[in-house]
Amino acid sequence: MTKRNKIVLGSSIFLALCVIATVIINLKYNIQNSAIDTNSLILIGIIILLSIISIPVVYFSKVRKSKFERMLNNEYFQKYEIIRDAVMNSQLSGINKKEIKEDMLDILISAQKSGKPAEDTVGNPETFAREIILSYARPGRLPFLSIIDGIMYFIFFILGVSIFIWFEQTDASFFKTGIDISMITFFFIISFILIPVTKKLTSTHNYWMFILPVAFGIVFVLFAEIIRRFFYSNEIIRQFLDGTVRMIPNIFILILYIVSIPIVLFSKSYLRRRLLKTID
Amino acid sequence: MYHIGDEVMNNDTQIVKGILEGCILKIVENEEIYGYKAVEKLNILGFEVNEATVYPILTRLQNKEYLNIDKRPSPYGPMRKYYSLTEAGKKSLQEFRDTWDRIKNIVNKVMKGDENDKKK
Repeated sequence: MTKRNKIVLGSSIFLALCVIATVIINLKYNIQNSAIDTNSLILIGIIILLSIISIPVVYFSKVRKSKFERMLNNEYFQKYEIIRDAVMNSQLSGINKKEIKEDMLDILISAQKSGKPAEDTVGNPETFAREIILSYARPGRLPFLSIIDGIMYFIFFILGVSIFIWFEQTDASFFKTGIDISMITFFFIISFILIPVTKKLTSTHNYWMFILPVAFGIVFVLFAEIIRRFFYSNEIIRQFLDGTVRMIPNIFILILYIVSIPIVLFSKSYLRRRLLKTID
Repeated sequence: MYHIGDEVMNNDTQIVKGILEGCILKIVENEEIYGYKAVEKLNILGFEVNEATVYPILTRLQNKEYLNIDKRPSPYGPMRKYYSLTEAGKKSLQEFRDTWDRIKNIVNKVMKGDENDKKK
């Protein structure tokens, strides 16, 4: 297993364990306070199950080599892996990404069979990947699409968390579900900064960046606990930590969230077509 | 970097990109070809280019709709793209030929003039 795959798999196992540990500690606390009901138990079961399932999902989608990838020797595979990660983390369409992967495998397997060293075939794999991506679009245009991705992630986060929180107390109205301001801030940073930055950095061969989201989560929780301990008397800090906002206060906003999903997806697809076609 | 014969040229120069694009169009006009074969052909002709140089050019030509694509499995297994010239590609190749002839004549005149000046 390559260094990249060890880090990817390791970070997914670590994240799953962190989530399971948090849920168990929370469960223990609720049992001690007799504040546990059937819905909470179902929710905890779902979270633990999803955490466990996430590990094989990461393995099969990000780590396991395909039939043709296994045909590449170590030297070629290491170069291919860098190109593949850069292309897969780019803003190219799914069809383009699949096509480039197929082309790369054909070209690299052909070169390997002819006895050519990987260094002579690929040169600098990061430059190669950048040239491939630029053959579809002008430089500087594609990062714009990351903002649309960010909007999409944020909508999903808000909808998902609202449903989870409401599921814990189904006797209350869904539209009265409040989300912590700190959690909204966390989601905002993840959606608009952390995911694009992680994608950018992992495509520059810095595999340790795969653990960036997990590390950020831990740092954020620690930061929240430290400010809770030392600055809780401050009104702004108190609001940040325990204040809640009803992100879906009525049916119209809920409809707006749901309707915005296909609109955002369509906008991204339309913009991508326009941006990618304008090559020199 | 591109190597043409013993000369090394910076890959940022548009002129080199243009020359390679024209030559690739010509190679594809002569026969249906796949990516690795195109590199081999260019190497035989004297261009010391590798896959990292040629593949993005082929993709760019494909996106400009100068090349048709036919996908068939390669002898090693993965799907392989075979490129052939479209009508737009033929037109672009003709434009490249005309431009090249014109530039070549101008440059030759300039160089001859330079040699004549040296002789004087």
